[in-house]
Amino acid sequence: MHSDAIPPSAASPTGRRAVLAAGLGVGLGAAVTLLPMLSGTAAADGTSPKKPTDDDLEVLGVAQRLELSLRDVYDDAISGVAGWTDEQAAVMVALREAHEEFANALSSMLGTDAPGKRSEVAYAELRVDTGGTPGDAIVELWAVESRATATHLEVLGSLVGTDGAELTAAIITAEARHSTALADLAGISDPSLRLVDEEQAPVDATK
Amino acid sequence: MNDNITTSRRDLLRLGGMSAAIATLLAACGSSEAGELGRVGFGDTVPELGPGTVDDGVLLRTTASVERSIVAAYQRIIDEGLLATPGAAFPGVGDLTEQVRLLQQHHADAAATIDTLTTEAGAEPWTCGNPRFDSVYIGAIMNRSLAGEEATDATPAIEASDDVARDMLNLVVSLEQLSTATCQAMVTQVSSAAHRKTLMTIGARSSRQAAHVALVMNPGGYLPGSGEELDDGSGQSPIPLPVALPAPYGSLGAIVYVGGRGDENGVRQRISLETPSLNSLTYADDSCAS
Repeated sequence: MHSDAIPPSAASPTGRRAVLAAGLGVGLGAAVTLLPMLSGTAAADGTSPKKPTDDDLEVLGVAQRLELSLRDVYDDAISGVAGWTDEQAAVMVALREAHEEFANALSSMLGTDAPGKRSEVAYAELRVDTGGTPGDAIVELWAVESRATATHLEVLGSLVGTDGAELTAAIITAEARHSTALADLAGISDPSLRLVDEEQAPVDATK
Repeated sequence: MNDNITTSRRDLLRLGGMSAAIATLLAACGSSEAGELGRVGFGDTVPELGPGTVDDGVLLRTTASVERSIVAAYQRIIDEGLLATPGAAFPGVGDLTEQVRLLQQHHADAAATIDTLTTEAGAEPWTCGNPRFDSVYIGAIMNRSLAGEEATDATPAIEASDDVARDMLNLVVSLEQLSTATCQAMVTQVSSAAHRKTLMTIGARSSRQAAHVALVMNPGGYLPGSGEELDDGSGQSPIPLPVALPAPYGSLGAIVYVGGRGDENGVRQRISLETPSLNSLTYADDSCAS
């Protein structure tokens, strides 16, 4: 029923950097100041520091906001969509827990610099339609996970400290699998969608 | 007569003790330089190894080498039709040759991408597989599965695998995990943030490929449960089944492959694949020709 049924908006990727810049460009203040950091142009020299730099802390804060947004998106989907099978529910809960765990790990790294709250912009953009079937929601979440992976890749490309890079890489590895698992759960057989040939656009989680 | 004897028994003992003490003192204060060992015969001189510097160039060359080892392994699977016919363990998977070709293309593209980064880092791209991985991982697994082991003085021969297709699928999922973990491990070692992003773009794809193959092998195997294993009831070691979401985070731990036919005790081949380390790096002095 849901096989290979990816929403047109989700299946039409936009240039990661372009969307990120556009998303950030509409904001003011902090969003503008974060633009260079998230543009993926920062480069470490041969002596990368271990701990996050001040700029790293801001970028990792964006990552935490994203993860808390994702947790809430899953909470809404789990409670709002009717008719989950046991198998679907188990995967939904596991992915919800994973996003909360990522947020907690980022919080441990950020300490008092942790935002500790979701990005309202990202949350509004990523929310799934709770009026549809579980299959519909899973397909939407497939794209959400791809967008999360794309955003973390942008974050990784701007980090200087290796501690933050290490954690972000471990999150990327896990979140990348989320999309494939969701595609399978939705009955998608097309390898290009299961393997996400075209990563979805990153999401603006700066505020 | 006795007038000439001036040393009593007690004097002798005292003299002996004193001599020993002086000898010990001299030995302790003396030089102990033994000089170099002498050479016998006309053998070659011992070659001096290079400094073994590990920089971005070496790390990137090594990552490309791992990708090319995977490409070569998949090519052999394709050429020899090792996944064309499903085995008893996974009878419903069908002919997976084209799927492997798709996965292979990603690794070939990844190697080419890493070559570009290697050149940017001022090093020469590595254009062949990783010699150590080819030998201790891929070669060892394929040899045991396809040909078994010859008898030794202590152990009887082991026949070729009871299910080559099963072993090859396990090898594929292991190699996808190895590619993922290698990219992830390199993130904290390379110094360029841009390189980290590129490596993890590759790693993310490999991670998805690992999940995809896991779900082909183990339909519905999304989450780790209570030790999913493939036990054919033959008394041989059970084989762990992969799952799509094995852990909350990307793991850098050893990737365990179990396969081949069991030995006299039913113990199958068990190999832990690990990310590149000192003896599997492709240093600046190394070359594909050597």
